[in-house]
Amino acid sequence: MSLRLFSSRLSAQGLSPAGSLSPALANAAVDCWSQFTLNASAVSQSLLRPAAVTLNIPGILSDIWESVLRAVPKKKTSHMKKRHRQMAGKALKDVKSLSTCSGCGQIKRSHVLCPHCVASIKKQWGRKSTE
Amino acid sequence: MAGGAAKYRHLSRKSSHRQALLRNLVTSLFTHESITTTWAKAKEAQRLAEKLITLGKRNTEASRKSALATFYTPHAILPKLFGPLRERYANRPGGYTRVLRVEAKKDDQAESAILELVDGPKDMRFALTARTIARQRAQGFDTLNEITALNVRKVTRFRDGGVDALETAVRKLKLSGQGEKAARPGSDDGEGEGFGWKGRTQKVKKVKKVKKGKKVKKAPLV
Repeated sequence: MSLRLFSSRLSAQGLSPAGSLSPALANAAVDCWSQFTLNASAVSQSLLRPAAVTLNIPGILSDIWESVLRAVPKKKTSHMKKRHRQMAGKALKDVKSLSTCSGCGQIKRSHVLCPHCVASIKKQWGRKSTE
Repeated sequence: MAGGAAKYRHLSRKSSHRQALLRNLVTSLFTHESITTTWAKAKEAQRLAEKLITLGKRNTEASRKSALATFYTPHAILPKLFGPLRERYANRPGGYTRVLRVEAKKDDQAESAILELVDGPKDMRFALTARTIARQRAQGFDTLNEITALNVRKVTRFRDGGVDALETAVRKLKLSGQGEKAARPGSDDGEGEGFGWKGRTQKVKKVKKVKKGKKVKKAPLV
């Protein structure tokens, strides 16, 4: 298979095949290609073949493949990083609308009944109903 | 928009569930005169409660039947609805119930509210207004501020012997010493202490802290 590939590369470069290849040359080609395929180990040969035919430059090609393969995060995003990212802008708001309770003078939220007064009034009602 | 604007809150329930919930709420309301629930449920139950009191005021056979069909314990409530409540609200042109926001009761911090029957024995606004007046008198102020005056009007306007009832309530508070009870909001809590990096998220806790400090402080006064 690698032989066939090599010959097609030659033809694409415009070199004449010039009859049958000499055995030495064929062996060298086999070595070269087996090395190449070993380097780009993650890529299946079937994927590689048409690329080799069109691009013609195996050295640079292998570099490109390397860079494509390595364009992934080096590390898993840590729990802290993820939580910080996802909770950004969701912090609790300050309660700024505060006022003084006219019934007891303590601080209470505006437009909401004073919890202290409500509790003590309810307690009184409870006492009354039991009396 | 598909489905149109909602005319009522669905309360995340299907129709039958919602109906049952509201019936439960109004049954409790008419039994106890005042209930505490989430604000949204209170507002929905308020609609139904107002309609039921209108039925009571109408006092016809048909209205009796529909009231009977609404309550879960009709035999305990119907005499009350068609008796004391009908008389209490005879002159009042609507607005028989009141929803007051209170601090969140549920642990999911859902907005809570008190739903109460106006001018009843558990009228929270009446009690709070009495408290305010008692405190002001204890401090030596005789004139009421705008909001308190408005509250006094709301509370006494349709109540039977409203002004006298309020006066009695104020006197009672004075006697039991609750008017002077809350002297001053504490400057003793050391605000701003220990909130450094947590400051933004701990605001609510801060309020709670103030409350706690107050209670401790008040205990000997009572």
